Amino acid sequence: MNTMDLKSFCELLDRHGPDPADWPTGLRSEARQLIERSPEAEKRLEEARMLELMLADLPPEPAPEFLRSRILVSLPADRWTRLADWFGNALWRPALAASAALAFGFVIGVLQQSTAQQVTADQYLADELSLLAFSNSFEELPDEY
Amino acid sequence: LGDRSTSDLQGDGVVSDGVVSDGVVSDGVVSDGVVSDGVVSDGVVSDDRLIADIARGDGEAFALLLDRHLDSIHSFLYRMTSSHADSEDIAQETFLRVWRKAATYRPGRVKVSTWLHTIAHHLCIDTFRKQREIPTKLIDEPADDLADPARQSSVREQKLLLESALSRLPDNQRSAILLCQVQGFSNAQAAAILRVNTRALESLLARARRRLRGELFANGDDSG
Repeated sequence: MNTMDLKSFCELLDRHGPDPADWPTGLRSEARQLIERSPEAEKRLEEARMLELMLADLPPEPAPEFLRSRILVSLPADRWTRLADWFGNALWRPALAASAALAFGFVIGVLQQSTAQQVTADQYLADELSLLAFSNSFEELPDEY
Repeated sequence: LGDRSTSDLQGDGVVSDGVVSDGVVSDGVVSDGVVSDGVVSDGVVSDDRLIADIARGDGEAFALLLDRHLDSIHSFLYRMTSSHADSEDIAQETFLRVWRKAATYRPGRVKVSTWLHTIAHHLCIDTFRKQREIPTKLIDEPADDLADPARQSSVREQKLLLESALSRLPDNQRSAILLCQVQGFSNAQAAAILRVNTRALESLLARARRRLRGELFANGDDSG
């Protein structure tokens, strides 16, 4: 039983075009039956075909002669400009992040170094005291040692 | 690297819109010859290889890419904008973007022609956003005159009517119908250019065809 009406057929044409090869397989038979019994459907199919042909026949609009030269002349002049473009477009974010990390690391490093120096001086004093203490205990050992 | 001169390309394997009819190169995809390091056996350089050379600042490669694709991009843009000035400006900007962004192109993901049309389409949409009134202004004047059915008999007038109707389509519908039915892209490629899925692309095509049928044959509204 053919359930396709003109509206469904027009939707089929709009979605898939006028070539039956492009129609969903399950709808081809119904669409063909409708075309055979409905002059209006046949007319719509012809219109869809004509639209396809008209679109395909649209003349190309080649670029004017001067446009190629205009584009070539407008290219950034040298590698430095390209590099600047590239830097401006792609590199500045990671470069900024890397620079910030580097600066942060430098500051942390400097601070750590001054703290370390302080610790070293304190540690030196403690070590000296320990040695003195060790010397004292040594003196108190029995003679056989 | 093979000889990349345009004259050789046109004399041997004819280059048209990135497709070489003899050497059978289409954006680096070869069906008949052999690709080795971006060079096809008959000496024709693939579009992918040209883009890689452009990324290294090779002006000769850029000029050759321009020769292959400028006409096609300009034709698409002229149909989109209905304006020579706009289509030339956007075509220029499209290729400048290629020069600047060649390093971002990933071979194998999309064809070069698809990539170029993607850039052109989106620049076009940006231009429309900035100059919202221009497309409708360009179209409305001749449309009233051509809407007279008595004038629709000749093929030339039908073409004018078609161009006018095309210009009145919403931007994405116009892009979809031009890419698929004039520029020769598949639905999947056109969907990639418009950054929509294939089903949405089919929907755009359906609406575009319905409107065009309605304007050209005065019965498109019957369908739904």
